[in-house]
Amino acid sequence: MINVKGLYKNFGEKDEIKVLKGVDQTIRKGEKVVIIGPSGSGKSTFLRCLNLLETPTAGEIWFDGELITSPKCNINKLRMKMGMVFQHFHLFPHLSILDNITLAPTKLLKQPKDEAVKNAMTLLERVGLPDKAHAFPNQLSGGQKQRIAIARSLAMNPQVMLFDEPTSALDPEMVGEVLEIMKELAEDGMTMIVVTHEMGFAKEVANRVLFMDEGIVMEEGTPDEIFNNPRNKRTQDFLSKVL
Amino acid sequence: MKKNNAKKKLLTVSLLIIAAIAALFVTYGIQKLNNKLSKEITVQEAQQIVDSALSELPTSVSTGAKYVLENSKVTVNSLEFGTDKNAILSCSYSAPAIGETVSENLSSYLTEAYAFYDSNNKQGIKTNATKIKLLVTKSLEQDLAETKNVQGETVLEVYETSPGEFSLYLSDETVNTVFGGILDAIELIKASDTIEYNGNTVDIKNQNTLRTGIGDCIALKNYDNRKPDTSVPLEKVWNSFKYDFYRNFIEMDRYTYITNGLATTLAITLCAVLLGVLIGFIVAIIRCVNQKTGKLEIFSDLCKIYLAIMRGTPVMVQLLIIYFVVLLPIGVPKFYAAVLCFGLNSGAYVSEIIRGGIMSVDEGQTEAGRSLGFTYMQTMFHIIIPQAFKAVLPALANEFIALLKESSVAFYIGVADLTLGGIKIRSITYSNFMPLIAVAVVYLVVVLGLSKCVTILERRLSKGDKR
Repeated sequence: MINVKGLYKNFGEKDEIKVLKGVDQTIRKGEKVVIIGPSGSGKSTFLRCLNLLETPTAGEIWFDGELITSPKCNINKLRMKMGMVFQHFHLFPHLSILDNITLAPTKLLKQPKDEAVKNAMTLLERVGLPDKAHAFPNQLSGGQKQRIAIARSLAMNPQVMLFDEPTSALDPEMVGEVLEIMKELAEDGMTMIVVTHEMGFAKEVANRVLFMDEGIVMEEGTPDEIFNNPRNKRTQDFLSKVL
Repeated sequence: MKKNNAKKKLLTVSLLIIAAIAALFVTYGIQKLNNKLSKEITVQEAQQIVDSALSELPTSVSTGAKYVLENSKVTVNSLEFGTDKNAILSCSYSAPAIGETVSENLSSYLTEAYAFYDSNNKQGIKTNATKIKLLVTKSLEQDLAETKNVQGETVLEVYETSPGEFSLYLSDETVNTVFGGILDAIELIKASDTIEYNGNTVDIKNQNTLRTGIGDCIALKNYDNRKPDTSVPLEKVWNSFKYDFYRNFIEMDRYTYITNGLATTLAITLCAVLLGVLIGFIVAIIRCVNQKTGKLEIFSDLCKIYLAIMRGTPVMVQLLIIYFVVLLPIGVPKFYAAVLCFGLNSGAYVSEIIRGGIMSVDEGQTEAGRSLGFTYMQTMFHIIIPQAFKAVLPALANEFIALLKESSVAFYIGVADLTLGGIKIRSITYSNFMPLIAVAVVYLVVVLGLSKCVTILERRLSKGDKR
C-alpha cells in the first residue's frame, strides 16, 4: 500500500542537518507498524514525509500505486486518504467539538451537513465522548482532546492512520484511554503507522516493529523478535534503557 | 486592599470638592462685604453719566428718537448711595410726549405709508423700509413740533461695573418715562395690524416693510435693558462663561457644527476602518502566503511598495495628494477622498496587525488543517483567519480609536468633520476657548468611551478562551 524507496530528508538552508539517510519500507494494507527509537532518530520525520508534511529531499514514496513525491501529484487529495494524529492534538480551538469533526468532511468531501453530523456523532460514540459534542476544545482534558483528534481524522474515512507520538503529551493516567481507542481501531483492520514510546502498545498491537536510529531503520521484525530477541546492539541498548 | 484604595480616593475627592466650595464662599463673602462704590460721585458727575448714556440711545437712522433726545432734558437733583455698588439719583425730566403723538396720529401715518406703498406697487416700484421711514419722518417731526413736553420726577440708578467705571441702568420703564413714552409708541406700531383705507379694512399683519419703516423713525438701536453687571469676579467669570457658551453653541444652533461634525468624523472613521481591515486582510494574506509558499511573488512585492509608501509619508500629505491630485480632477467628493485616504493608510497598519495575528496562530493548526487535506488557502480561511481575527480584534478596535483622532486632518481638504466644526464656530464667534475645548472634549469622551468598550471586548474574548 505504501512503498518507500531510498528516502532522504535534510534540514537547514544548506541541507547540513541530515535526518533521514535512506529509508526503504513497504507497508501493506491492514498492517500495524510501530516505529520506536531514541529522540532525534528521524522517526517523526519519516512519518511526516509519508503525507508530505515534510517534503523529502530525495527518494520515492508510492501510495496505492501512485508516486506521491512527484510534483504532479495532488497532495491535498492524497492527504484526505491519510489521517494524522499529532502529539499536541491540534484541535481547532475556535470550533466546537462537533464542528472540529465535521469541518473537513463538509468542506472537502462536500458531505451534507446533517450527514456529516450523523457521522460525527457515530465517531464520538466510538471514542466515548458523545456528550462533548457541543463543548469547546479547551474544556477537555488532554486524553479527551486526543480522542477527539482521532475522531476528526477518522471522519475523512482515511485508508491509513499516522500517529505521531499520540500519548507523549498526556498525563500518565490519560494514556490508557487513548491507547484503548487505538487498539479498537487496530482491531477494526485500519492500516496504522504509529510512532510511540509505549512499548506495551507495540507488543500488543503491532504486526511489525521498526527500530530507527541515526536516520535509518536499524532493525525490524515482529514485536516478539524486537523486544525479546533484539539482534542489533543499538536496539539492545535502547530497549535496556526504556523497558 | 482594592476596596480600601477606592475609599481613600473617594474621601480625597470629596475633601477637595468641599475645600473648593468653601474657598468660593469665602471669596464671594469678602467681595460682598466690600460692596461699595470705589469713589463717591458728585451730582455733576452723575449728570454727565446720565447725559452720555442717554445720548447713545438713538442711532443716526432714528430721526424721531433724535428729535426727542434733542428736546428733552434730564436733570439730576440729588443722589444717595445704595447697598449694591450703586448710586440712586433723584431726577426731574422734561420730554416731548412722543407716545401720545404717535398714538393720536398712527392711523394717519399708516394710511399715508400704505397709500405710498400701494401706488408704488401699481407702478411696479419696490417699496423698502427706508423710503417709508423718510416719508413718515416728515409728518412725525411736524407733529412732534406741535407737542408739548411732559414733565415729572423720576429715579435713575448708576452702577459701578468695574473700578472707576459707571453705567446707567435704563430699564424699559425709565426709558419710557424720560423719553416721553417712546417705548409705548414702538409697541403701538408693532401691534398695529389693520388700517382703514379707501373705506376698506386692510390687513397689514404681513406688511413688515410698512411697520419696520414707521418703527425705524423712533427706534432705539443701542438700547440694552439688562442691569449693569456689578457681580464679584467669580460670578463675572461664570457669567461670561455662560454667555460664551450661549454664543458658541446655543445661539443659531451652533452646536450642530459639533454634532454634525462628530457624525461625519465617525462615518469617515468607520468606513475607513472597514476599508482598512479589508485591505489589511488582503495584504496580510498575500504576504503570509508568499512567505510560506513562495507564491504570489509579484503581489507581495506590490504590497511591500504600498506599505513603504503608506508608512513612509505623513497621512496629511497622502490626504492632500489623494484629494487634490487624484480625486478632485475626476470629481469625487471630499468625503470619499478622506475615507479612501484613511482606509489606505490604516490598511497598511492593519495588515501588520493581522499578519502578526496570523503568525501568532500555532503552526500545528496549519499542519492539522493540511493533514486533513485542506489546501493552504482553505486552511487559511477556515482555520487560521478565524483564530487570528479573534486575537487581533482588540488591536483593530484600537486602530479605530487611533484613526478617529487621525481623521482630524480631514478638515484640511474641507471635510466638515468635528475639527472643522470647531474651527467654523471659532471663525463665527471669534472665540478660541469654547469651540476648541469643546472639540477636544468631544474627541476625548468618544475615545475614552471606545477604549472602555475595547477593554470590555478584551475581557469577553479572554473569557471565551476559558470557556
